[in-house]
Amino acid sequence: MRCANTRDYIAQQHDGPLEPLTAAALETHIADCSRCRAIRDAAEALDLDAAALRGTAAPSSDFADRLHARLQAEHRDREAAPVGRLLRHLATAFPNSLRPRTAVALISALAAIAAVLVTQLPPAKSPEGEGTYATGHLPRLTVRQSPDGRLYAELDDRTCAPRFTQKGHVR
Amino acid sequence: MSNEERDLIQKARTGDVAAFESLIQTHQAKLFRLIMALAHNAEDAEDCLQEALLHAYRAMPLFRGESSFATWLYRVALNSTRNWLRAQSRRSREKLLERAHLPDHATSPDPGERIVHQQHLESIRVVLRALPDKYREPLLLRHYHDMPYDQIAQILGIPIGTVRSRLSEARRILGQRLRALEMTEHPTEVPSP
Repeated sequence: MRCANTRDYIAQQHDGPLEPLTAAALETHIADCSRCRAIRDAAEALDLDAAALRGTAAPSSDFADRLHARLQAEHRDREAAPVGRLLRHLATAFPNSLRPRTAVALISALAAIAAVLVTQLPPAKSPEGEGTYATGHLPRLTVRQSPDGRLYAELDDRTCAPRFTQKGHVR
Repeated sequence: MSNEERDLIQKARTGDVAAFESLIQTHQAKLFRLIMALAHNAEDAEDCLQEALLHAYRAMPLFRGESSFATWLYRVALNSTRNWLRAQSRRSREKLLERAHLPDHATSPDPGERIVHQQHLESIRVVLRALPDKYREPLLLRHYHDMPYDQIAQILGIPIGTVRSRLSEARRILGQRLRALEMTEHPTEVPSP
């Protein structure tokens, strides 16, 4: 028996006993070959350890409760983060066949179009004064009123480097 | 994939915790055993498993259904376990070589025999942890999970032929290191030819 065959038989032994003749030939080879003996010993040692674990190892009784609490906390955090929620909806909305790179390109294009649209908004008479609309992780949108009564929108993305600011009159 | 599993996957992708828990229920104990073969104790294994499952929950929106859920889950869990092992290694290299606290599962009534049995199992895990990822992971999936070669190939993203050759090489290295470890521990014993 050659070493290559021996290794196949050792692998087969994991699934069940070999035929008696093959087993005998394997033992004869192993008696003279220290490399194959090391492989067989390792395979037997692993099966021994796996059998020991199979009999006893299981997570503790409160593991499911602890995991549940962590998952719920994770779920709450995700729901609270608007960007995460948006990305998740986008991820699930895209078909499975869409490659991640294509999805990122599409999202970037949509974000760019949204930024341009903000600067092109038609004029409106209200609200009066100045207000900032915090949008969590999204770019901050500020609306200002000039002395002549015209409104301006300012899109400020502090996450960009350099800081990205786009201004345009609304009305 | 059954319709029920498909529904659960769709719900879990949108963050439904109950659906995700139903999906992982059948795999949890198996994943725990896989991690136990590498962890120092059950507490560490639970920490690692919890992180792996949280990682899978976070990654659910990215599950595209190109493989079965089980294959994907094992892939995520193995990646997470790999990172966990590296973090353990960074924290303390000595701790990695600490003796594992193993459950008393030896059936022999002879305390001496039981100690030898425990020591043998401890040696296996010490050597297994120290193996490179590419050898350790096929061994874990094959020996601790009785996984067929084609599924191991899918999980690890390698051809079946590579799985076979890595398993053979991994067993050879493991066997040599086990023998070297035993020689260090019992230097007076004469090795068999």
